[in-house]
Amino acid sequence: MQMKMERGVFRTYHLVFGIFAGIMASFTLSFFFHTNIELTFMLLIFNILYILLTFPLDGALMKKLCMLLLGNVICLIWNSLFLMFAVATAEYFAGFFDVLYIILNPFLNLIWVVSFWSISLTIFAVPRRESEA
Amino acid sequence: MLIEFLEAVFVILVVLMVAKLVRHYIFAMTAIKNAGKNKKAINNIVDTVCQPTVSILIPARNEEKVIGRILQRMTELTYPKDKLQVIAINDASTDATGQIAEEYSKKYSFINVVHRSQHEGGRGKASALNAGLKYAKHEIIMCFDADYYPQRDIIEKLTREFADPKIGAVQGRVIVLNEPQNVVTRLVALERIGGYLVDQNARDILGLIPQFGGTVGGFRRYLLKSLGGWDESVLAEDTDLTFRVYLAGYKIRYVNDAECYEEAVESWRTYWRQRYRWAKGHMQCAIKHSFKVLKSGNLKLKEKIDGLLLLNVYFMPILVMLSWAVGIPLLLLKSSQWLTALWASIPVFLYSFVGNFAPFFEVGIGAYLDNRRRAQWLIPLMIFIFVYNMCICLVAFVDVLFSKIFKRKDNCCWSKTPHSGNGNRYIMNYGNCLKGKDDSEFDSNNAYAFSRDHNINPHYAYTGVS
Repeated sequence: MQMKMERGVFRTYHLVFGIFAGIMASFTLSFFFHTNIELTFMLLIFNILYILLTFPLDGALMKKLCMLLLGNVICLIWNSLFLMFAVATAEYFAGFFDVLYIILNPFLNLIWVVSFWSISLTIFAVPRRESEA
Repeated sequence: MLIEFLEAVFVILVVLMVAKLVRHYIFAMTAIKNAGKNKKAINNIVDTVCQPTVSILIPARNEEKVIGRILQRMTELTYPKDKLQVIAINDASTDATGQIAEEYSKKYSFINVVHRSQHEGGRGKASALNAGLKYAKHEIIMCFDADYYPQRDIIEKLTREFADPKIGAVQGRVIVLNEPQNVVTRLVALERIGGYLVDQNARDILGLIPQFGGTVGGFRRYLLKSLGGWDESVLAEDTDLTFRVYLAGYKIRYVNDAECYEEAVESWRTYWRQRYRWAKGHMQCAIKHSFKVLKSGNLKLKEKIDGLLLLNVYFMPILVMLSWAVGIPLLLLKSSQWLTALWASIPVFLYSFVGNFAPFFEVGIGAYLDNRRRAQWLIPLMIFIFVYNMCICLVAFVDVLFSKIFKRKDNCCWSKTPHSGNGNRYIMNYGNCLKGKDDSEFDSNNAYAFSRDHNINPHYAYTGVS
């Protein structure tokens, strides 16, 4: 019962802070790593989705910020590796793989975004037994 | 010229899908905001405020594996038996369904059985319910499917809403009983969590249109009679009735704490058959009611918008498919930054129609609110459900289209969902109940409820006490 009451709270302050942090993270990563347009969009989509869907939930703000940072790093590494792979493969398959990269990239990205979000929900979910203890 | 046209179509599709996403985001946040409040309000309600007489209809066609379970449960309901009438409708079954129902009828006076012959039966659920309705004599008519297993106090929880004269119907929450069975049942369970705990709940809180789901719900008898009962010409008789209730000026309440457990489909084949029927039925309702909803004087603007979106929900996967079909040639023909940005957002929409067309986040938030820690790990897998549903909706759409063109009757293809009775193993005291032993030892209604309360796998809850 106690936990359900807490879950009813919508963390507006966390959400506002998260949006600010997300903008900063996207801007910083895009600026310092000279990311391509696809990566910039993916960073934006990840930050928007993650912040809007996680920050209003119950849980420590610091934990949420750490997860956001981790997500941004994963996004950067995933996309950089995929881009390197695409560049290398394009050498052999010319334009075909380039087209495939543009079409498939957002789909492959969202698979990890959704997986990351669903796993991070587990961190914020508190089972009844623990909350009552 | 062609590129400009494709661009316009693509932008319209993206805007439509973003609007749907925003709507569901509002639903998810509303559910979070009100999770505690609901519980508090429910705890403060005195259950004996409204206790009308209730007739419960249980349509059953070849349900010998599950009919005994629900009839046994009817005898265990805490609602006063003198105010209760249970009508089991044996819809021309060729197995032992009729005999099992008769046994219960002989033992308990409030249980009646209606037998339908091979000639009159087998025409779908709506037809069976209408047959049962003729024998219903009480103020409130409730329906439960034969494979369902309600909480003992579900009738009290549902009927208390009828204290408000504007309420024409109520709907309870459906939870999957056989969730640990396999990956299909686990994914269907996630769909149900998102659909009921978040979607239906938020619609109710926001004063939109909570949908009557065809089971675990009830109507005022005079309203149902005045509407002419269930429409046998549509496959989604529940959606049809939902809109007829709203168009008649009444409201439907969703009662989240009135929980009932269902035996979900266990294979992809039965999933296809069930969802195909839903998709086709929903499309029939969209054609039948969209215009009526628009011009209705009994609906507020927000109810009209929500009603139209609800009616047309099974067209959304087709629109996503169309957005791919338009987006890919656009990307190849014309490269621009805004196009790349819009294309990058397409997968978000792909994941936004997963849980019976609830977005992935609605399912995840539902699982979070339901105290589930690991169930949400399966959310990424729901992409397969979406792709599957996309095919189902496309086939259903083509079928509805041809039916309209060639004036073919649609209700001829009612396909019943088979139930294996595998859900019995998750009901802690089911074996004891059938043997007539005292089951009061277990206060939790069944193993599933017990396991949810204690955050353990239902399977372990079962094996732990058997």
